[in-house]
Amino acid sequence: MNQNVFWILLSAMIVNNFTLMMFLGLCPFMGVSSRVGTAVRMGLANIFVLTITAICAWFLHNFVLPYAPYLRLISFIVVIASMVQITEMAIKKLSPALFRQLGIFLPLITTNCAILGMALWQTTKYDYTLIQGLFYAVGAGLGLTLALVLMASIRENTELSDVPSLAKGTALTLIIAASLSLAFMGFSGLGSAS
Amino acid sequence: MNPVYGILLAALLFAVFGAFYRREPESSSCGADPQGCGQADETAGCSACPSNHETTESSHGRF
Repeated sequence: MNQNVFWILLSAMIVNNFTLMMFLGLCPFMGVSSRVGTAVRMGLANIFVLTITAICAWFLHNFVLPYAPYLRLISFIVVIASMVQITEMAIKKLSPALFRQLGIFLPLITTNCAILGMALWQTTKYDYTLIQGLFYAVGAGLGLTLALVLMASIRENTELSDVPSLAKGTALTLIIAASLSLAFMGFSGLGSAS
Repeated sequence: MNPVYGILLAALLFAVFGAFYRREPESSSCGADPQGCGQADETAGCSACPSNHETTESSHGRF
């Protein structure tokens, strides 16, 4: 069981990284990856929303959706939107500076397909238990944070580098994202043959 | 487990630690003897030592 949840965490975080392997949640990946500090906080907000969503999705899947399966998407979206509203209010109250830094990307966590994808996969594709689902959500959140931090650190360093004018800006961001994605593809198959 | 994964995981760990490393911008304070000439070089655009001073060896390789 312990090994099982460890592999679920590692798989969601690295092998099946939501951003770099499945290309989910690209909006904050491109938008909030200019500073490492902001990227870490955005990742933490995502981990919080993912974890609460995983718990709610498990309860809905086991106790509500068997009676009304057609409500799956709508109920998940309502849960995610509510969680994001709570997170937004908490950040606005606790750290107004961070609230301004995250800007539009904070409410846009609602439309972050990584969170809806996690809730759907956790319940329908893998049919995880509550504990497994929690590890899956935390792993997915850590994976998102990892991708954001790596991207932000490279972008911070390129600010002080002599980049050819042809590749400055969005072009360089896409090149970095592609390189990171290729690097993470090296993890494919990790744990499957052990 | 394939050892390649170990190398990749080590590289990932290295990258994460490297992410929090701050690269300091180059100092623009020319009066602080940037070339190690033994005196503050405020007149020549801080690009070279005055002709009567030699650059100290310890200052080579500064970025």
